[in-house]
Amino acid sequence: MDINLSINGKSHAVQVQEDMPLLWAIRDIVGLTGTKFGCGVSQCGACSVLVDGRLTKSCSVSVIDAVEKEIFTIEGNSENLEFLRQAWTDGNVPQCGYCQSGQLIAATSLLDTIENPTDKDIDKAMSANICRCGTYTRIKKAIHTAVKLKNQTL
Amino acid sequence: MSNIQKIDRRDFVKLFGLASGGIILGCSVASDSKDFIPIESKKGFHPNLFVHLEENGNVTLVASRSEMGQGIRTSLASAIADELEADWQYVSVVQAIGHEKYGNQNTDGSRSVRTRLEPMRKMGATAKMMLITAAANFLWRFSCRCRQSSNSKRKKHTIKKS
Repeated sequence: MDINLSINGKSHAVQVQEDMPLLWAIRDIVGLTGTKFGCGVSQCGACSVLVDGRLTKSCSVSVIDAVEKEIFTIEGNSENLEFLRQAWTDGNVPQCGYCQSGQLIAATSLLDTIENPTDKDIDKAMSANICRCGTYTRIKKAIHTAVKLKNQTL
Repeated sequence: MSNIQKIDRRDFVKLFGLASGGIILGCSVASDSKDFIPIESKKGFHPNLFVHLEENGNVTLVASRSEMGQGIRTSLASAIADELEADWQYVSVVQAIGHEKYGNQNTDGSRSVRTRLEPMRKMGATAKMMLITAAANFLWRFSCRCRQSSNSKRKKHTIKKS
C-alpha cells in the first residue's frame, strides 16, 4: 500500500505497512538518516521529529499516524533551527553527536513555542532528550545563544 | 624599496615545493583541505600536540580517543585543563584525526583514562610550566629594567636636590 508522507515540505510515496514505526520509514525507506534510533521505546529522544509542529518520538508512532501531516526532521530548514545550528557550532556543543539531532529538534520545538525561554523552560522542554556524553550545560548555553542571535538579526 | 612579504611556514614549504618540484602534492592536499584544519596551523602558541593557546585566552585541547558517549572528550581534556589550570569556560575540545603521532588511539576496554590520564596531565603540566617560565623570564627582565630606570630617576632627583 502506498502511503504519502510529507517530510520537510517534500512528498514521499512509501510502500510500507501502516503500523511501521515512523522512524523506520524516515530512515530506511526515505533515507533521511539524520534522525537517530536510540532506545526504540520513546525514552531517549534521539528520534525526535516534529509532526505538525508537535515534538514527537518517531520510534513510537506509526506511519499511518503521520499521514496528511507535515513532518519536520533535522534535515529540514526553519528559522529557529538555523539559529540553533549556528549556536551549536559556535558553542562546540556535540561530543559524540548521536543525540544531537534529537536535541536540536527538541530545541526547535521549544523556540517555536517560547520565544525567550528561561533556564527552567529549557530544563522542562529538553528533559526528554538524554545525552550520554553529558553536553547538557553547553546545550542550555547554546539555546540562550540562539535566542540572542535571533534577537540580534530581527 | 623592495617589497618584503611575510611568509608562513606552510606557504614557504609550498613555494619551495614548487621551485624544487618535489613535495608539492603532499603540501597542497594538506592546505587545501577545508574539512579539517589541524590546530597546529592555527595562530597562537602550540606548546605540544594536545594544547593550543590563543592570544585572546581561548584554549583548544585535543581528544585523541573516540567519543561514543562515554565522555572521553570531557575526561581527557579536563585532565589537561586541570594541570594547565585553564578556565573551562574558554576551553574548546577538538577531535584528533587518526594519526600515529597521537599514540595508540584504540578506544576500547575502558582503558582510555586508565592509560592516558598520566600522559594527558603531563601535556597540561608541561604547557603550564612553559608559560610560567616565559612569564618569569619576562618579569625578571622587566624588573631589571624597572630597577635601572628607578635608579636613574633617583640619580636625577639627587642631582636636582644638590
